[in-house]
Amino acid sequence: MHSLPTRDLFGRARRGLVAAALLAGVAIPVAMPALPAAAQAAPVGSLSFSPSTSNVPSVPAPPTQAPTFTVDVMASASTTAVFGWQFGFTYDPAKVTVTAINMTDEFLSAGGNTFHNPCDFTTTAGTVVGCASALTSPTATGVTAAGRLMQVTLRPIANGSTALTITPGSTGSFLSGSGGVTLATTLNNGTVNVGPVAAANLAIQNATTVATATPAGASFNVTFTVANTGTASAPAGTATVAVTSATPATVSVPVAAINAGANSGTLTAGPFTLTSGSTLAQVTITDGSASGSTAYSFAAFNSTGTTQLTATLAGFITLTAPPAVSNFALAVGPNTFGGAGNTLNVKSNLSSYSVTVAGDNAGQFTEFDPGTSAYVAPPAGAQLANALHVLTGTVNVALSGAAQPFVSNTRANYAPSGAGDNYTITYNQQVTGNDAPVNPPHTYREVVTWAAAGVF
Amino acid sequence: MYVNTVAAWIGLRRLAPVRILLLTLALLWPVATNAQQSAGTDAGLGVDGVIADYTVQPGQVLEHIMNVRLGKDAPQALDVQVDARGLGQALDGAAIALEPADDTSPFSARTFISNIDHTRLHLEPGSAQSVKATIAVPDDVNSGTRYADIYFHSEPTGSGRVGVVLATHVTVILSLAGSEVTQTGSINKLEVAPVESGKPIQVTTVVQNTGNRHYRANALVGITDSRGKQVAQVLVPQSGSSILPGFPRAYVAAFPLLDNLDGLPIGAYSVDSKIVLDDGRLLDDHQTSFQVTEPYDPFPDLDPSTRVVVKYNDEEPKPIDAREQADLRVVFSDTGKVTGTVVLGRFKTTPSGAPRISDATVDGGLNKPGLKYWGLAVQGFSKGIAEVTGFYSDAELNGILPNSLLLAHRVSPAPGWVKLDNLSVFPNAQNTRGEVPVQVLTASVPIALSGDPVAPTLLDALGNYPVIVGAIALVMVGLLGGAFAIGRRRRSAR
Repeated sequence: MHSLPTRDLFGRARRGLVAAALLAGVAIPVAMPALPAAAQAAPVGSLSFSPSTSNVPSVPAPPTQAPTFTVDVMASASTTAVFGWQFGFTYDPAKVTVTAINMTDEFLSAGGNTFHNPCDFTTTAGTVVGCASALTSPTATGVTAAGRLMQVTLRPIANGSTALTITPGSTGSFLSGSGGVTLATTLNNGTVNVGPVAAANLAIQNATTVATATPAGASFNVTFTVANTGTASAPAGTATVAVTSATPATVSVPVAAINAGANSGTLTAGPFTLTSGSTLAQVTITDGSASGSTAYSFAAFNSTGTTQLTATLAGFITLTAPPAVSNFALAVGPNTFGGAGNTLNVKSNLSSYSVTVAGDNAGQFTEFDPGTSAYVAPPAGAQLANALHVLTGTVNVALSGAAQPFVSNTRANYAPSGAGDNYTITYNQQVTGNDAPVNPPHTYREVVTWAAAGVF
Repeated sequence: MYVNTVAAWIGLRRLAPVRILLLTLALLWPVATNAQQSAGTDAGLGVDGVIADYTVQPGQVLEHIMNVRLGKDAPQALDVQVDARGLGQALDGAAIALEPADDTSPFSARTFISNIDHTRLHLEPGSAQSVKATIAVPDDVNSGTRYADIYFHSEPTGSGRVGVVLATHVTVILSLAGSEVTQTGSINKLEVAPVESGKPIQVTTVVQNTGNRHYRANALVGITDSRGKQVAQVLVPQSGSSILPGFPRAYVAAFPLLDNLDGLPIGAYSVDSKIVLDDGRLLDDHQTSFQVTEPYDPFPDLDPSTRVVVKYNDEEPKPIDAREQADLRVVFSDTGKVTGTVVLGRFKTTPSGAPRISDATVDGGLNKPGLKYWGLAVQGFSKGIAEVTGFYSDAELNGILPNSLLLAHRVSPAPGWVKLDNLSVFPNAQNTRGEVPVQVLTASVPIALSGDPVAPTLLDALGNYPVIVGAIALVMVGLLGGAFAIGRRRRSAR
């Protein structure tokens, strides 16, 4: 039994030496190089500011001072008993200044009596050093629960941002264990924003789906743009494209850093493929807090045999008209122009399509004033007696003001290459000896309207 | 108009040649050439979501999203307008985007389109724009089907001779859930065009959709003689879109009667027209009668001794070598299997009717002489090309340059005589060859062999004027005689 007092005495002496050493270290700062990362043990806990980011109002015009605000320094729960802590921190003194530090230390006080070494925040602007605390009770077993170390009061000086960067104590450590052993500690620095803050703000724009083939099928790509509508650059990141009823379910797309006000350009994810039996895929694109959505729909058009179509969306028609004719000189008699190279092209994935043709002014060339881009209709102007004929193959349509069927086709006869159906267009205009000439720069003009429709 | 003024001022306005010359000069006035749009591989105006077919509830509001795009190869930007229109149909089935004043159908859903978020678009080549139409079904619409047309149309391109407008109809079909579908129709017109030999007999049936939903239907038309015997029957399949409720549709049945080349005698005939749904249900049946006042000959100009008739029964049509009977050979391509008839032969004389091939081009001719004529007609063909080879003998050329020979067919009334496609001449084999779509041959088309006459020499030309030639010869003889007499006198004087 006599050995117990001796052991207790030694224990008290050991802890006293730890506190003395700790405090000596605080009092007599010694440069302690950080251990190489590879040699450092796994962190047992962390130190952080709360809130991690403080956004405070703008600094008022002098002589009014900005009101103060507080930031707590917190220790997390630890996996190893903590017997002491020490640290400092730095900040930009042009933006804020520390006006007071209250060493509340609920963290370590939960473990027994403590000795606090107050922080020095007045010696060097922007630098707080010497903050330390240690358990002094010989029976202390350390603390593992989270708690507050101190409350820092700051006053804004000027608008802008500053980091609150945690610096090591005099011995190079932050949290200490039994016997003063250094415990690996994770450091979470803080930020103070005074007044308006430049920040990135990402938005997903122009989200759309594009079939990978023509005519459209079950496969599609997703295209979108990530725009930075904020006031600061956004770092590089990753957008995620998630789809329903299609595979793959998600695709990640790298997004390069985006300057404020700029965008990523068009980004593409895919191809995705509709799962069997599905006709609609919902698409969601996310990049951080930004999100956008679109959808892809495709269904083969089927006729039930009683004219009701069983599918609706995603049918398309693309119509390429033959070129406008500018310099063809008409003469008395038949005038044939157009022909080879004058092509009407129709692409569609519908079960069938039809194209009608119609003309202005009942299909008759009418005097036209290029200066006003207007017709000069009879009786003030001239008009050819005969309507313009539009021909392709065996089709010969005398234009009128009403739409008339011109060409049509069904899917079974579509060009397998997907290049669409080409129709060589020839115009035929009969000019009679009774047709009046027009005075240049006026000319004869006719506008041909090509209209496509899906057949239902 | 100043040309007319000048012509009138100089007192020549009534002189047709001068007028024509002035008109030609005015029409030939150079016009600034705009960049020509070309049909590149990706130059078109495309619209996705062109059929908006929805089953809806009363009071439902839905959105239909379309994507309109201009191909990257388009030569210029395009301004496009998007309108909510009524969906209409012409008699021939052509879709019509009805202006509000013309949209009087009780089945119109035009006013249901409460908003289109982009009604005017400016599309640069390669760009696209999403367009959303909001469709609000009124609470009191609870049965039947309603229709509308979201009409995309561009501004006219260019300012020259022919401008172009591109348009696409987005068909809106709203079917009220649970409502009963009524498919009824009524033939409200059945008429036979005046019967004329050499032209197919034409019967037009107009049916009105009196139901509450669109449907597809075909017309079965038959001709019966006065004894009740059926002369011919034709099925006219529906073309174009389904017939909208409230709209009429015309079916035109043509009877070329190539399988009855004896034609029809004078007498009374009846026509029966049935409108039948795709599933075989009869919608309506109507009869009328007509008179044949002159014997009807399907191919009146054909020389019966040269006539060749070939019938096909669900088979690829084989080549027809009728050189022995009619100096003609016909080879078909891309027709698919055919059940039908081909009739060909030589014409006895120049085919009747206008224009003649020797007429001026202004009048639809080729301003060339016709050497020989054939008739060629098909029945039961729907597509393909006929390669026609016409044979001749040197004696038939009659002063025509062999290398200038061509084949032409007549399309009446306009544009008149048209050269066959891909013409080629083989003088050593004494034939000329060309191609024509078979659809052209459904109307007993005359085909002519023609060419350019050999250019006459001076003597050829003078050969038509013997008096002038005689006078010139006398003058020449006189001159030579005079010179000879003068020479003799001078030698005598020495």
